Amino acid sequence: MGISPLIDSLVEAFQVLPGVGPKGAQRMTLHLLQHNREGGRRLAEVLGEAMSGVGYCSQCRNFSEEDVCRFCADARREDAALCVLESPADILAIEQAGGFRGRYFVLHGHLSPIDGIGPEELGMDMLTRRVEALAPDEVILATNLTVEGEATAHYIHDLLKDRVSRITRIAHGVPLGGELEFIDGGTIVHAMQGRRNFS
Amino acid sequence: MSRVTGQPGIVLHTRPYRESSLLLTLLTPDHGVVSLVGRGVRGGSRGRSLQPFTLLRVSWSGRSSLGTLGSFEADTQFWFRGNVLASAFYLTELIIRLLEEREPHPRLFAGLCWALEHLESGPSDVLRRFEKLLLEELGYGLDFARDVSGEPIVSGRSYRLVPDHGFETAADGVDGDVLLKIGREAFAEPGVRRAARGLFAEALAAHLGPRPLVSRSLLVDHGR
Repeated sequence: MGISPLIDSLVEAFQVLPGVGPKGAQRMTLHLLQHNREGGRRLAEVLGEAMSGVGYCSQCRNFSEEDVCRFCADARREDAALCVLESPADILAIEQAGGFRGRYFVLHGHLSPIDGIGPEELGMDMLTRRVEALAPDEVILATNLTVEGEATAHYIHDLLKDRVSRITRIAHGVPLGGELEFIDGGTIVHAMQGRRNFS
Repeated sequence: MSRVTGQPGIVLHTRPYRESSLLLTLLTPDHGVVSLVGRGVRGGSRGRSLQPFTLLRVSWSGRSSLGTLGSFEADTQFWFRGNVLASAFYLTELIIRLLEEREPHPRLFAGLCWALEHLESGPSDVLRRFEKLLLEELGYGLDFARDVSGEPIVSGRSYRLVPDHGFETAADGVDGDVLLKIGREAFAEPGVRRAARGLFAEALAAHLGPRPLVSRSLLVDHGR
């Protein structure tokens, strides 16, 4: 029951965004029309360009409008380590944290039999080819610490174990600033199993 | 039914829903397969225990097919690795593909608990027992004592499976002795295990339809 058909369809269109419901979409629509038409035009333009222009990097499957993304094209990054991740957001998380200068590979998901996602959907052939081309000393399995993330890590380990000398899994345990008393049992078990020499 | 409290449940599957919610599928004894929305549980420490193969004590509300998750408490969290994990996924995939939602299955619930507890010690035995139980619970249990014409199955005679009906005598089938052992769940001999695997796969295939089970593809095929 809106103001006009065009406004109604804009309100509906905004609801594709995560976390945006009818109310929020209505607020966004009215805001752009009332206060920021220029911004709205720019949004429409960039959105259109991005939706048709952004594809996948041919080497790491990260989002990119070039054939090779900027992480793969950057000659200053090291080929010695390849970090395998579930989503492009994970690359941003690691980049923002800093400290890693190797290469990435993005799966865009994890193995999930019940959702019909098997090895093929995650580009495992491409990962194998990437590892053969790059010949890294180490593959870092940085999939999430969920049951599906762990299943994915195991699958990749079995797939690559004869091709790479060192396959590592990101550490899991007590978070920085964590107090044991408040940590769940599963995490404590992993933290106890994965303890390291103290030096 | 509008409110259920303190029901045991095993998490079969979870999927992100909206910004911070989770859709989860559980197997419970009194309500069978149940789908629930856990509002605001994703990402937080509360939601972290909602992983597949976690045994919970759970409450929910709602009349529709999709209920709302209330309070829950994780009881046991099974954490499998490698091929054992692929086997565990196989069990949950079978349940979700074959069971109707909201039909009570106390035996199957107990069977899944048992299977998850014992999977690590001998996956193939556990899988065969679970498949046998699942077929029984679906109403397609195989009769390993009598053939389709009502005659007792005997050692030394050969049989083949007619899915959903039973065994009939056939020239080049499985020996009656093997069927009797499968009926007693005596899977110690490799020949019996192999035969059981084939028979249960055939019996289940009739209900799974043409779509392949994805969990089978999780066992790395090095031939590729």
